[in-house]
Amino acid sequence: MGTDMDLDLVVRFQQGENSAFEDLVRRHMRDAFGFCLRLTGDPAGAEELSQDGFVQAFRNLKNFRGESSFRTWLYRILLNLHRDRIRRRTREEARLDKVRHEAEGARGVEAPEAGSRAEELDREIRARVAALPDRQREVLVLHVYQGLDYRAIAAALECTYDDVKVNLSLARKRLREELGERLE
Amino acid sequence: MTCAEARILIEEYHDRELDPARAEAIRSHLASCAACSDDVRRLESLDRALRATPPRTDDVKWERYVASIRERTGAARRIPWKAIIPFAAAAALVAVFSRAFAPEPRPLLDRYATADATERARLEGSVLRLDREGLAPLALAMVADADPERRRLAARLLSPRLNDEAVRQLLLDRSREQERRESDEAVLIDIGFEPGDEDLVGPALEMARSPANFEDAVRILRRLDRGTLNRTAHSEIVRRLRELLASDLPRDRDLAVRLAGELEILIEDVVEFLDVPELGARVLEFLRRRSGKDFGTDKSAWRAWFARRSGGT
Repeated sequence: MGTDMDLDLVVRFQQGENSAFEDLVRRHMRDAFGFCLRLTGDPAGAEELSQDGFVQAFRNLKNFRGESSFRTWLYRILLNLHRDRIRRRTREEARLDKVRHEAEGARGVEAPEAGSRAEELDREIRARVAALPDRQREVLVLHVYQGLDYRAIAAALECTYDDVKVNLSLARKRLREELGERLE
Repeated sequence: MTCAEARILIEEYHDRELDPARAEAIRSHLASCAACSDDVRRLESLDRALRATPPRTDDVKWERYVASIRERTGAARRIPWKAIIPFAAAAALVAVFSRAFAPEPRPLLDRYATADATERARLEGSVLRLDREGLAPLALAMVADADPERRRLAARLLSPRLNDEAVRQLLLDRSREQERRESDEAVLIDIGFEPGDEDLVGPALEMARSPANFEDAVRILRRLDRGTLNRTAHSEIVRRLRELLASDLPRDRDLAVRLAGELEILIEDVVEFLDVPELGARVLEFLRRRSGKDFGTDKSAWRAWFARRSGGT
């Protein structure tokens, strides 16, 4: 995504041109929504999360110094919001979520609704990705779906290159084991 | 290059992360190694399968999406939030002085109370879009509903908006109100009704995470912590701060130490953090201020000094 154009819009916004922010939103909204959907697995939640991310970006953009791309910076905001929300839930809710998640995952694997083999695989992949441990899922989504390289992911997650490498590898290993020969 | 050496790098090779020299070394190895070539193919087929599940973005109404962001970023500068405070304060007083007070039905909160987890997540999302008319009843329910469970639910629903000016002002207002009421304890004891100050602890701690609201949050927590009528709030603060001190996240621990310092509680707990690099200086500052002494990083000396003082924390 054109980072020069982003930088230009950021500078214009920082100089007082508020409408430049809407251009940034329009350039990144589909990408941000898609990213949030991968994180949350829920369209309504993804819409809220990504909109909140933009609102927070608006409030903090004056302080953006261009040390990473706007996109990476936005991802960092979205991830932090997402984690904050998860943390806020009570333990009981988390447990309920897990049970629900497992139930949904199990439904996708053991009792798929009538559909083509491709649809079943699609559903199963979504469930398996959603069930990955948080850090593995974040790294996998940023790399495979959002197309970030290891260094950009490390910047977005505020972790090291080796953390990215290890978590990506673990995520792939787990998915390969779970999906097995259906991938061939 | 051996297979063992290649396998360490193969995923980075597949992800095009290697420098040209190492990528070339892997390519040469793959040309003559069927097993490692299979590994690469498996990575390719997994990534291909993953990428074949595009996010479903068709249902999003993009113009409405942009309009909502436009409204919220604009509203943050324009809406006179303080306009709701007199209304809130009046209703809170009604709640305090009337045991028979029953809140008006609040559709959003009612639905939330009976919703399943999916519906709850949706309703939590909808709170982000609430305007002041929608927000005020929830904020009111959080501080003044007669039913503790509903206060808790309202607080949870409002959690993403806790740093909004409207909610911040409501909490401050409640804190000042409590200050006034403490001067007339007899009335309150007679009424025997103290709507759950402990329910405000969580919201106030969330508020404290925002640097801009930190001082206000401390003021609220101080009122709650020293409330003479309701020690549950104090216990709740202690419990929450201990949770934060035990958190894996440095910023949680930092927040807890700062708040413990401001509230001057939990000395035994924070002494443990004297030798933690990112927190030690803050802990030391707090201990010096509290004691007027300086034992440096000597934990046992600090503990002994506070133990000698009657009551300690």
